[in-house]
Amino acid sequence: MIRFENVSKRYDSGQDALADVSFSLNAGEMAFLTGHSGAGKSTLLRLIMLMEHPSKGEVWVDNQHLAKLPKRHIPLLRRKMGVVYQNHQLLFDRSVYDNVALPLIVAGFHPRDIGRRVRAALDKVNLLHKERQNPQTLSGGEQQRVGIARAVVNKPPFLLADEPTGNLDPTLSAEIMQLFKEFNQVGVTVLVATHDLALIARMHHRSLILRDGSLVGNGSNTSGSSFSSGEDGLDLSDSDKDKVDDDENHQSSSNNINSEAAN
Amino acid sequence: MAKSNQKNGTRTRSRPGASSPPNTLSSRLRAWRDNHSLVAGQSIQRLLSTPLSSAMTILVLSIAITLPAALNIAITNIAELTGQANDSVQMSLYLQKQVSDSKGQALATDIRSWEGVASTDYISPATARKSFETMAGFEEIIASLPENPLPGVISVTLSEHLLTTNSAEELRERAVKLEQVDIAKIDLAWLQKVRAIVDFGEQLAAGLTLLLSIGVVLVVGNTIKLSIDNRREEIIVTKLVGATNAFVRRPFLYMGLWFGLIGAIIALVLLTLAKFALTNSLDALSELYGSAISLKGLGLLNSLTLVLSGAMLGWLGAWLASSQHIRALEPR
Repeated sequence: MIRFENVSKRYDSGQDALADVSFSLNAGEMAFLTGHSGAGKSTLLRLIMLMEHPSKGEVWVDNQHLAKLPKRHIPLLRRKMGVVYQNHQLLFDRSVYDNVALPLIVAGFHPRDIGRRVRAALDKVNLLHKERQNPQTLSGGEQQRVGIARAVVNKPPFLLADEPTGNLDPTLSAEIMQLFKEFNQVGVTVLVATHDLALIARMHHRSLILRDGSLVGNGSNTSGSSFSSGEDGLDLSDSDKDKVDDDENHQSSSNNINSEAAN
Repeated sequence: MAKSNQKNGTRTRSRPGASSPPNTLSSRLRAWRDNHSLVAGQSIQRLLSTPLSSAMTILVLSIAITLPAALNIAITNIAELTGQANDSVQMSLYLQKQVSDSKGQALATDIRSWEGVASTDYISPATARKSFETMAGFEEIIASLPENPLPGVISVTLSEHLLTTNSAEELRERAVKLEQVDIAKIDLAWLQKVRAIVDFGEQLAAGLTLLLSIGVVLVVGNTIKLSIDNRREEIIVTKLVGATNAFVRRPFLYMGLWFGLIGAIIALVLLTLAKFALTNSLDALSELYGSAISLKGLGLLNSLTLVLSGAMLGWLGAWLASSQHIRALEPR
């Protein structure tokens, strides 16, 4: 679960990025974070990732009050969050495989598990055949998918994405959103920052709308125009229902990969 | 179908648990050890991937290690030589011309019982003349003299604890008061001079060792800092996916360790080569002087200490640089 309590963020420059933002995202929920550019979407995500600290208010992630988290526990919290960046943050001095393996190496997984999990994650984003390539040789959409594979490879309970479809065409954007949906259906809490309103409208998920650092919308979005607060998690029961079906597909496909890798 | 749905449902709920890495103590220890050996190997490869700049750094380090080590060896050798002299600090009592051999002998026996005297030896004028005759160059001079000009001499070896100036001087004064004794000479002053020089040399060596150790730390630190700057992006991404500072620091610490270790090993090779080169010329020298002067090298224990110290200093330099610069590299 992710919870903001009256969070404000003022940068040293005096600019107010967030003003009195409160919301809560339940475990297993999927939501969009939207608003015009400069509205505070990135700041909000950066607060969750501990790249910034709030000037006022409390940010809670996974029942941890982030301001009270000892510094040495920050890496452990980051391991629970898969993050997809707009600029990918991939390393071009190593292969696609090694990029995706990084979170597992950092967390001390056994080499045997690393191979299996990396291939399962790459298969999920349909890039298994490119594991030996350098990410520099891939297209923008493919690079984004490598970033997604890296974000989910250690099966984190949280998945955050900052403009993941920023530079992609509508078809690719839809594919990537579909991927996020699939992760959500296996229990991952997903928060996607995007200004792609058309995409949000089609997705039937909760939207947090920021305007000039204030939260002006917080609720289920079906029509794409009307927002009502106080409906947190209303459509959870619906999504839970089709979760099981989709989950079965997901699990069986990754199980196949697991057994292939084991062979 | 319903059954499998159920099964997958439970799997879904247990997912967050499955996301945690292996967490038994032994598997974590194994992962830690695996990472160390992996990183140790990778950092060696990284050194080799930039052979020229690595070689330059290592050369600078090996010179910085060789210099104080060589000075220390030199001082040890000088101390060793004067130490041999210590064993035989002598007082020479030149007797009056008229003292006969038998009286000289008796006096020598008498002095032997003095406190602070280890042994005495009476050298008669005839014996002294004979030994002069065997010496190169003196032969003809001695033969040309009408009579033996040499007095009888009692050679007194002082016991070692007497080697302070005062007690030796007291003994000399006591000897010179004897009526048979003409002159009493003691060769302590030159020894003290040599000792002062050795003391000075030891201090110089200690100072130089300290300074150049700091030099090694700084050179490694600077090299590591450059390496960290070059891998900035990688460090930030690694931190973003949950790496601890210790994890990020590890490859740099190993790099520093390798720099120091290889630098020290090359210093050891240089010192050994220098020893061989000097031994040849020293052999010629000691043949000329007719005494056996042998050069002492570092020895196994000191060699080991040198190599370990080099590795430690390299590690320290890397630690200082990386703990400072990696902490500052937070994802922004």
